[in-house]
Amino acid sequence: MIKEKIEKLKKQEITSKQNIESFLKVIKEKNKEINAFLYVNKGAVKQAEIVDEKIKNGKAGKLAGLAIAVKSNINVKGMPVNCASKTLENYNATFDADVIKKIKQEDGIIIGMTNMDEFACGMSGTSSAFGKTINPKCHERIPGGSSSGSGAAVAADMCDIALGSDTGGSIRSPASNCGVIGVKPSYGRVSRYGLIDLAMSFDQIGPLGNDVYGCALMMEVISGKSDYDAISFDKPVEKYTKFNKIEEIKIGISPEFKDMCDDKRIYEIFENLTKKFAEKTKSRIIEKNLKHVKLAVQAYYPIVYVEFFSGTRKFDGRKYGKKIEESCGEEVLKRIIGGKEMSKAEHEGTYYRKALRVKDLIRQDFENAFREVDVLITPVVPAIPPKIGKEITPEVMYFFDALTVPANLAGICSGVVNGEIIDNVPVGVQISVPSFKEKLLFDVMKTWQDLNT
Amino acid sequence: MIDKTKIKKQIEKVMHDFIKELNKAEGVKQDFGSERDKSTRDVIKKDQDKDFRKLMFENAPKKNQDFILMEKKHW
Repeated sequence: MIKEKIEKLKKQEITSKQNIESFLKVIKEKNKEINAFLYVNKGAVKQAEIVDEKIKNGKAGKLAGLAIAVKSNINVKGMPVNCASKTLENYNATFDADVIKKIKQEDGIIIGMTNMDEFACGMSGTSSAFGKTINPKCHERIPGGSSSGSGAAVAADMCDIALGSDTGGSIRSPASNCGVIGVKPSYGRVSRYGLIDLAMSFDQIGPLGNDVYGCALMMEVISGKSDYDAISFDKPVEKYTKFNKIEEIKIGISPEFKDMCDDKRIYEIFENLTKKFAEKTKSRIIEKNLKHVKLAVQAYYPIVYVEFFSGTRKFDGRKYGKKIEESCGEEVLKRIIGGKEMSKAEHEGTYYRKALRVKDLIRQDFENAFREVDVLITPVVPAIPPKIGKEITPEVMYFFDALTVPANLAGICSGVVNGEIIDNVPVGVQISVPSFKEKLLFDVMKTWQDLNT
Repeated sequence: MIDKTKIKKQIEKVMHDFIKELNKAEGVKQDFGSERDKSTRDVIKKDQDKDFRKLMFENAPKKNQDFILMEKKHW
């Protein structure tokens, strides 16, 4: 997979140019149907030729020659960063996001910008102003969102690694539905500078890939403090790709997640896989209560609505784009109107502050759990993803967010690994660790991957 | 055409239901907040990006040579 490909690129058994050209061919063949990409980088082949020279001279970076797809809410200079919205339809990024600067420094090649739910407001992959994304693994079911294009691009072999963003599950949900690996880093692990925000209290940029090594490598590259993101932490970035085999850990499972998992087949699969993992790694499974986690959705949405309303005031059509209220879709407008209502002076304390207090309780629940267990393993989705065309009402959205949102509220690190297939659609498993324990997360994910392949 | 009144009513109901649930949470502290050591940020000097001006003007909906045009109250 990625490690083997990097070796071949280093030895020039394949060239970066060949790698990029082969992905461009796949994109040309499949994108009309899958609609994973909104923009393909016309300069990618030329950039690959430059990287090949660097490889020949022994001066290439960690990502040399790899094709990286980027979600359309992350600024890549000169490329459209339209957030899948008519509001920013003709807007090209004027600078590189911190994560993009780092990828370019390591000679990763940005192959294109991927589709998403408009302004990251959704979990289905069907609310883009430029058409829905199709799930390559199961065409009649939603791919998940909001990083739908990134998940689909990886699943359809249109790129090596993709970047998404996760505010309430937007990397993990498409990773599960499309049968790929996805990681939401700890809040503050990766700089958000250059990410067009949905909710500043929760947003994180993270990788999606077909294997754990690829995601771990990308995390090594993009993690770290930034002077341009005040909440990014000055903590050392470990070598996530130097995997340790996991043995004799304490695995927490939550009875509250069991109650929230509506389709019992999903819970059964998750339970059996977790038991097998525990047996093979000589680990113990311990039940841990997360007392307030059933209020996660109710705490999450008021915060998101208020912060999104605040973050969208800049889209007034003056310096760029169009006025958002006159050009956006229904879900985006809903969040703006909701945020505007809740931000009014007469409601102060009722919504936002109450939600923040419950967020704090949920964070404490996880902290308390992690005093006694090393990792928490849970399902990702409470039911198999809806069929394309089924109306995604607010109730459906909240229901599907219930198992991923808690990790964002707690600010912890959470990844999705492959589970099994139910009704022809992939269903993943979610592994969560304490904040800034990404090394542990990748070790567990790699061990899981190795034991299940 | 999106019905803003319908959306507003939908949101009000959803938020009302959410708050009912959040009010059931035990152990909610009355005071909430955090303190910062500094209320201003440090200024970081950086080199000017030569492409920035060109891209900004390409993005502007209305312009006239060296000016981006914005009519008062037009947004």
